Amino acid sequence: MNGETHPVVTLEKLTKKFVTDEIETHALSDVDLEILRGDYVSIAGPSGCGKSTLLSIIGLLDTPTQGSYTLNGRPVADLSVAERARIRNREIGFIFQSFNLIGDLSVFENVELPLTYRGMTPSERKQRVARALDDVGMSHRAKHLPSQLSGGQQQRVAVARAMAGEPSLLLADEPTGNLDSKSGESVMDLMHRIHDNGATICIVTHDPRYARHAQRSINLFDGRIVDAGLAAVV
Amino acid sequence: MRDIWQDVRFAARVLVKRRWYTLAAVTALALGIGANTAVFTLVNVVLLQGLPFEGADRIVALGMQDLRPRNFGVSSQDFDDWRRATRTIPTLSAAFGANLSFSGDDRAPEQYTGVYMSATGFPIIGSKPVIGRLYTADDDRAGAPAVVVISNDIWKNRYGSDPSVLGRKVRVQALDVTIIGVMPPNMKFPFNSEAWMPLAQLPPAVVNLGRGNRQLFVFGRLADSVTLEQARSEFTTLSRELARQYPTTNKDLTATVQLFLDRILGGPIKLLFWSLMGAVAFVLLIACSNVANLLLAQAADRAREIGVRVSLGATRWRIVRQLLVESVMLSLVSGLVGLALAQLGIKWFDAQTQGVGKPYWMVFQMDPRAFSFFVGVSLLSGILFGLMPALHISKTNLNEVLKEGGRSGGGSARTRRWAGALVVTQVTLTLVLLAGAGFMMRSFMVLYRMDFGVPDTSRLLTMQLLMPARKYVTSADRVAFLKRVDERMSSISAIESATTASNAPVGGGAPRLLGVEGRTLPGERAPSVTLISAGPHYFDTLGVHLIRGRLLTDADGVSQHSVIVNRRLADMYFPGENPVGRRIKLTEEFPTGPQTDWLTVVGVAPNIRQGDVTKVDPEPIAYVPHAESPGMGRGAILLVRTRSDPAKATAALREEIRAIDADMPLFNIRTLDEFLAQVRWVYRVFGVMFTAFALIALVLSAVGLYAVTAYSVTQRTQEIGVRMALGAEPGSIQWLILRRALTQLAIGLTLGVAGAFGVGRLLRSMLVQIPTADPPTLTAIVAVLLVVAIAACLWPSRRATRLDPVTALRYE
Repeated sequence: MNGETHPVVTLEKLTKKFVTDEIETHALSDVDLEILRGDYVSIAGPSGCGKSTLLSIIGLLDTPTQGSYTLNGRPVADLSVAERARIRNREIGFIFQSFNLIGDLSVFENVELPLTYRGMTPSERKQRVARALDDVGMSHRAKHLPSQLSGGQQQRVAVARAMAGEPSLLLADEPTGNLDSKSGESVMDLMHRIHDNGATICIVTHDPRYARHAQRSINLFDGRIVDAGLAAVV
Repeated sequence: MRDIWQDVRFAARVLVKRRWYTLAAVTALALGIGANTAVFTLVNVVLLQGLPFEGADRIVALGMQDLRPRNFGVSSQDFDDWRRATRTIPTLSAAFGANLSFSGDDRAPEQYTGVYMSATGFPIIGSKPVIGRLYTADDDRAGAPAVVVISNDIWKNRYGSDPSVLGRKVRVQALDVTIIGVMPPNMKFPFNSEAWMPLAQLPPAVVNLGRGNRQLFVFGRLADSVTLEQARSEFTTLSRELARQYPTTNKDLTATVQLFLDRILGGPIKLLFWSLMGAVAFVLLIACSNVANLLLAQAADRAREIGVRVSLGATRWRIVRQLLVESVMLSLVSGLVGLALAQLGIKWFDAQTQGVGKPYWMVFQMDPRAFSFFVGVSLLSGILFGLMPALHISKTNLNEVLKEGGRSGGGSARTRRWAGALVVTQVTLTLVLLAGAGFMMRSFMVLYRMDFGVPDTSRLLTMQLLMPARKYVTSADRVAFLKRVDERMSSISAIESATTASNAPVGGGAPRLLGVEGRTLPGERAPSVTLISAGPHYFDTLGVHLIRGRLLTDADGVSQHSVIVNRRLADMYFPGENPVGRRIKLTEEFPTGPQTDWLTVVGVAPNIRQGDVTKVDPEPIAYVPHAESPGMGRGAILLVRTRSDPAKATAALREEIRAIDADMPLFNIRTLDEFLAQVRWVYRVFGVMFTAFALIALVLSAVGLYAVTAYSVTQRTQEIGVRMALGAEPGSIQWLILRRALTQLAIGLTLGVAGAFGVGRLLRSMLVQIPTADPPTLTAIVAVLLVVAIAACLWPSRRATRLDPVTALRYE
């Protein structure tokens, strides 16, 4: 961080339409959004308002129907499938509501997976994984399978996996949705700490308690941003 | 490479974790890979390996063919003319297969398969002896001292591998012969031969039968840079010239030149083996379809995992690679199990083909080529069944699978379409396989139940003897010997009845041209009938009663010229008449002896099969006393109905024959039932194999159909719950599930029936008295497949009706 704030994500007039049985549904309409480096943005809104779709598009898991998306100054519209995969691997970290750890891999191997796709050497991978697990307090469970962990622990591992590759953007989709309040708080504290260390975070949540963790909150309704304001730093 | 190792480790973990899926997949694939490896090994040995000589693809076999077209050997006169004239095949050799009896060396007389072969035969195949020498052109001339080269087996078994066997005198076919060499192990060219004698030693009584006597097997090596076509062209010209010079014996005869192996593999052998290869390829395709379906069903479980991997930056290729590593590992494990199954299959086939006269170089075992095929098939199967599901899963909709409660990627319409297509493929291939197996087994059953014309085959022994040409020079010598054998056999108490004959039932016969006194028979050529010469007790021994007339007696062939015809001959040439008392003439196509006499028909016998059993109608046959068969060969058959223990009768019989001629061994002793079993072996062995493969396919298809239907129930559980909540009856729920399965089944059956017609046409030459689209067979197999398939679908569809609506509604 050099004090100069560059936009990590820039969305302009972003629209996403789904067509099912000749019925057109507008998941997102004319969304304009800028996420600066070091931002901590929460996206809130009722169920079906397009929060997850927006996050998927930002995370390059989906493509918009119209509008432009620039990630770290680079338009992503014309990227090939392989280039999108490469950017996902290097620039973006995901945290899902249902953790999405791979059940057949150990905690260590789960965290190691994105680094493997990056072609990193085993020794470097080992270092990074150890550090990431240490950061989330899960080093002692490195050899366990996800099924042997509690929900909160699984989400911590998921956070470690997302952070191990040191992405420029961390996307979290309802990260506390499957957790009890204590575990949820603990994960949010962890996110807060990660942000304090300089990470750019975009989190989808409809829980106002967790939305307050963010610097900026965006409300979506029927696919449109209806309110955007600066939130107080917690 | 490190990444691959990671993929391998993960794949191993997945396969162990999903052990039931792994077990099902390994079983299906092992059967498919094992069957393919086993059958390819057989195909490789029979059709691909070729002769075990250098430049074997230049070795050709020659013969003669008439316009019908029937194939013949070559006369020694034609052979000599060819040898002098040919430019395209500078080294020609002639061989005459013979059973050679070894005696006079202080050991029991023994009969061996041998050959009289020109000295040029050895250079053609490039063979060398392990000890001693081979005979040369100098040994292979009239008047040269008789020599013999023996096989390694004779050297080992008869002479205890004694090197001093060289120079030893032995009586072979009543001729004093010196052993000059021993062949290497497993060298038995050209007729599984155990002993080789110069062609010049062939008794004059055989050689001098004239240009019309075509008994030599001729082979040679094409000259360098000469093509098969060029050789054919030259020999066509040569045979035309000989036909012009010798029209009596050579008219309308053309020389044939073909690769040696093509001559050996004549008839339906190639078709059978390639059909079998096709059958097992189908089995493998069915197995792969099955496993692909299992993988598709697993797509539901794997979709979220794949989604996570993609979200973490895995490329599509990386995902496909990961899944392919899993499938290839699965196929390799299956391959190892399949390899063990293949070895069992090869051993079984080898045991089944012992004693059926397969060429000596065909040893059924895996060689590097077969092993490469095995490895290739294992790897390819993994890619074949793994690629489609891998590509499918890698296209998973990430938004759907990654969000909480999102639908898994496995239940899409795309998955259902793929699964449906795979089921249709399985049903189609299975029906085609069942049709092939059905046709083969029905042919076997026709043969098994076929009335060969011998009402009681129990306690009926057949055995062969061979009258050496030097000792039994004239036809009269042979007739006299057989008469004495007939007389001596009657005196053995252990024997109920016995006879000599030129051929046993189903053992062929000599072709003769038929003439009927006072009648011109229709057609351009005289019709051909089968001639059997027999002793007076022939029909008694077989337990056959004549339809009309009388049996042959000792007086027949002596004071009167008599013949018994079978019913088929009577029906064909004396329709609506009583042939008894009419006269017929039976002449050789290319006469080698004096003109034959008119024979009076003295009886009509029921039809006894002699030749091609695949034909619906039996052939016309004439039975004559030995004396009325001037061209009678040196071989004869003894047919013996024993009173009780066949072994006791055989021992007594040997004694009696030895009493007539001490050098005359009996060989190929077996019951008529065993003899008939040998006739049927091709149908039995190949029928069993086709059936086994078809049953495997049936089971795999049933399992596949079951799995897809069961999976469909799982996928539609929530929908079923909704329907039930809305008041759907169990019947309509069941129909909901069954409808899709039955549609797939109907499409598969339609395509399969079309394929079955094709299989019938393909196997046409192998079918015994059944049409190519045999309605009973097709109806039966369609019914079997239908019943099995419906049963496979019914089970999961019934399960659907028993679902608890509340649970089903909560199901995700």
